[in-house]
Amino acid sequence: MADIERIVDRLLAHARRGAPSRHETGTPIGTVRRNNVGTCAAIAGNEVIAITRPAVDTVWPVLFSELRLLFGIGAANAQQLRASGFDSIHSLRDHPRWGHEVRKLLEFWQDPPRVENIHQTMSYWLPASHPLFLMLPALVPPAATCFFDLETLGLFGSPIFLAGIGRANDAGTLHVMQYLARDPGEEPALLHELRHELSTCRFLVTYNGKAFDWTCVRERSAYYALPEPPALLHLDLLPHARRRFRGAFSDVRLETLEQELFGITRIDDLPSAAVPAYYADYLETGAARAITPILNHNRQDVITLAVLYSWLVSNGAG
Amino acid sequence: MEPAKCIAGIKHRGWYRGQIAHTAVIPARPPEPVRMKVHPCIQRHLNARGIVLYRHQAEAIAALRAGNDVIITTPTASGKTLAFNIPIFERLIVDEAATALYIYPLKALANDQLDKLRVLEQACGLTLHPATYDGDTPAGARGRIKAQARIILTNPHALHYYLPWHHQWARFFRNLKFIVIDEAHTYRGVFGANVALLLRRLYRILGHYGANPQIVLSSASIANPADYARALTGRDAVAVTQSGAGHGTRTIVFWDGLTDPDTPISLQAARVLVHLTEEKVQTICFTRSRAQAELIARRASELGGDGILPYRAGYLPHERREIEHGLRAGDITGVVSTSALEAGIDIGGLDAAILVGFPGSALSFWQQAGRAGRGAAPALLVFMPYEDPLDRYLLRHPDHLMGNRRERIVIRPDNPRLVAGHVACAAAELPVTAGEISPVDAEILPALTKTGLLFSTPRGYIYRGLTRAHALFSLTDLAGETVKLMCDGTVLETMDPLRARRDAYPGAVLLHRGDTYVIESLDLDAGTAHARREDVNYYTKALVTSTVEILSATARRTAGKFAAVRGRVRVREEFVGYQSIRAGRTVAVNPLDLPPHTYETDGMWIIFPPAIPGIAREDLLGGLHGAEHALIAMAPLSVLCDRDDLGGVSTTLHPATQGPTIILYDELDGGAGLTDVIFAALERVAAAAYRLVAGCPCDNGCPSCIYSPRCGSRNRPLDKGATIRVLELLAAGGGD
Repeated sequence: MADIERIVDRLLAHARRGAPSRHETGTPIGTVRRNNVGTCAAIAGNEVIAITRPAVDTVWPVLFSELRLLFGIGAANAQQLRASGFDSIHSLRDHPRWGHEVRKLLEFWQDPPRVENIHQTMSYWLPASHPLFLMLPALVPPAATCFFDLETLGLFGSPIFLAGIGRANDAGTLHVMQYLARDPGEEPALLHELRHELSTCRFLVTYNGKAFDWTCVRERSAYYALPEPPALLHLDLLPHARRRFRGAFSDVRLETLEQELFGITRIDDLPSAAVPAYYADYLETGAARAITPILNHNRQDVITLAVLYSWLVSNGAG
Repeated sequence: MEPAKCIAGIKHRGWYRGQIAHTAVIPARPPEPVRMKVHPCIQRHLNARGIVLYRHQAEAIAALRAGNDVIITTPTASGKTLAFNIPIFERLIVDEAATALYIYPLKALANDQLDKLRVLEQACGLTLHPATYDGDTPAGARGRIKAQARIILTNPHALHYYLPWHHQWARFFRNLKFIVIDEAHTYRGVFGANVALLLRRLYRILGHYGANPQIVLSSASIANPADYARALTGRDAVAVTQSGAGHGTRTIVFWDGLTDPDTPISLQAARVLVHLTEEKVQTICFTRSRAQAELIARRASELGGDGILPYRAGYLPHERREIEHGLRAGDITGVVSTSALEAGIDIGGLDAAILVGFPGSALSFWQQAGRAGRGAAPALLVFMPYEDPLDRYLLRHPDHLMGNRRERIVIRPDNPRLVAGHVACAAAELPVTAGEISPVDAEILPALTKTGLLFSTPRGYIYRGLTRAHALFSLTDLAGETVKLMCDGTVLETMDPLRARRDAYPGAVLLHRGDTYVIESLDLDAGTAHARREDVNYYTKALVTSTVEILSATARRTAGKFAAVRGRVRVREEFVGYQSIRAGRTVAVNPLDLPPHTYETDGMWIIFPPAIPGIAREDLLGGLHGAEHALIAMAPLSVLCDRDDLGGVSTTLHPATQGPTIILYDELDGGAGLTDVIFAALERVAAAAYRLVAGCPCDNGCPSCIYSPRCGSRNRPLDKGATIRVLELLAAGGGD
């Protein structure tokens, strides 16, 4: 046992550096949500920011001009066909070689086209950083797009203790909902609320969420033998940011993009690495002082996601 | 091949000096074929290849069909693999969702078996998508394998890391009907305990998915198959131990190299090897060390031996494949190998085997010996003992080996340090409830919670450490760590850090493919060692000193004039330097600057009265020291371990015991239960040690009795007379 305690003490001592240490009395945070797997806290907030979404009408021409979505057409074929005047999928409808593929594709997409089916075809043939992916959320109602970010106690396999979901309404207001596990025992309830919240969502927008956030949600749901989270369309902005900003900035962390693109410098923000230590302190003391910076940090991440999304959409394919 | 003709040929050679001390013959045993109904597609496969089933295979098949766990411990090449593959395939044919998990100790073995499984799959016209899944599996293939494969081959290290991702394996686990644990005897010591605990974690997850597969263990021959199966898997298994495959006459030559003291054993081995290959006798020569294999191969080629190659695990995969293929095809007439070719890898049967040095256990001895012999054809085995005590003992007591004795394998899955690590990992896989933990380990959950690794929730204890549990507690202290040996910017080979400390310290001489290299630097943190190619005419040996602190006693017994105690000790090992040895003489001792290594382990100690009758006060230390060496040397006869797995210190006055004391300990972090076996069998081990030392013709002790090559104090002081007296006292036990 001595070995483990030594290892852990060393890790904790390292992680605790810089965390608040003053004990405060517990302050209630948000409202308590009770569901059939337990309780957790919910914190709601509104943020007035302008969210740019592509108009639905602008999506179709771009989508249908992407000949690579047809089975058998690669970059070289597409270029050749375009040079011969075939500039859209529709224009190939009666083509002797590709007409059959066009009919098959349109049949698969259905009429009116289902965004899930379009996304499936795109994911198969196009790189994740293809700008067309940025346009797809236009095909679902604004409130069905969720900007999503998690806070966990570490890497994979660590409990999730905070989930932030931002949804825009038609007026362009971002409504941010946060679910907090006030101790790790509330994680199943948090996952339950999250699943409920996401049941009305169709498009998830994240930053590295394919590799991390969404994988965590799936893994932790399985850990507690909870039902699988819903299958959602997922727009991960990380590959798009990489494509646009690689080499331009020192890195493509969300904080860096905030600063470089929007001139936002977070004041009193907590570095991501300190999040677990602050949460540990919150568990010990119940102090709002320890949890508030995490809530703010997560909230800011969700807001920045929405702002970054708008920026990428407005600044076109680049 | 006629063994008698081969032996006569050797005796006629000019270099022969009467080394053949003894020749034993194991008569041929007829095979015991049985008729057994197997699935028609498998039967067609057997017919096409002319394979008949033997009694032991039928026993195993019947036991597995009846739903039992089974441990098969019949010899190499007796068709163990087929014995479990048949019922597994029968099940996979009938139940179209059923899956099977095969666990091998090494990736190379898994790859080798994958080919065999594919052959059977094709022969049966099945589509099972068998695949290996380990660190080498490309990321792009992983999803497909988890979705489709009905047979997955992996290793314990990899499985340890995949368990937290069990939901991705849900289909495979839910339908799991068999777990095959091949080469099971390799799971001993701390690693064995880790694998046992890993299996407990796997059961938990399988239970979560509603699966309860049968377990098949395939192992070399051991003394305690059923007990071992229970210790490793926690379940009862039917033991299938007697081979019905039959074999040809086996002639075993005991070769006493000391009758030609001026010729190193490596040269004697090379001469015999070259002689046999010239007679068109395909021969495999096993050595205990990598260096020795390289040396013998080089000497054989200097003697004009054609087509003789060295082989060992450090080679790159394609190099190994070539040699394996050449052996099967018969293009290679002679190969010199470490234990890497002992089992698992299919090289077909050869005509003869030369064993240079006792491989450390009867288990390995017979596995290596089993490489010689094709079907009913006669086989020749030449055993060339070293000067080591154990080797000399076996040379002088051939009945020990011929008596079909085997060692016990011990594992200690209750080692609290390991249990705690596995509980933490289990809590990262699924919440752990207090009811899942055995009462003796009840304090582990609160202790892990106190350290902040676990958190108690209404659903059980969950893991909340900052670092991934599976990285914090790796399956062995060495898991995932390797040291790359570099020369001129290319990787010569890879080795584990423990071996690097012993073999690749700065100044060490190392052989690779017959060439000598001198190590220039070793950086354990970076995982690299740098070597330069240089021809030198000496070899090197590290000197290690240990200090041992007694922590606690768990059992004590008094017998006659001494008391034996079992307990926990803390060991600090220091690499003080290394010797350069030329032609058996130490020509230089150089200092070494390696960090000391401290660990806690199992130990036992023997406390003597302040004076022992018949031993002068000034000889006492030499007697205790000699007895310590002899006990360690003989321990492998009782329990499966290497001499290197045990360490010892002797003192005329130990502060903790207040008397003359010999301390023996498991030279393994955490302990492995080896000294427990010696504690229980002390009188027997001491009796063998007594026979060894008393029967040795030397005057004052020699490498064949009480000298230890690993002694940190360079075998000083040693007193043979006092050693005999001490061992006599121990062997007499309570009867003295």
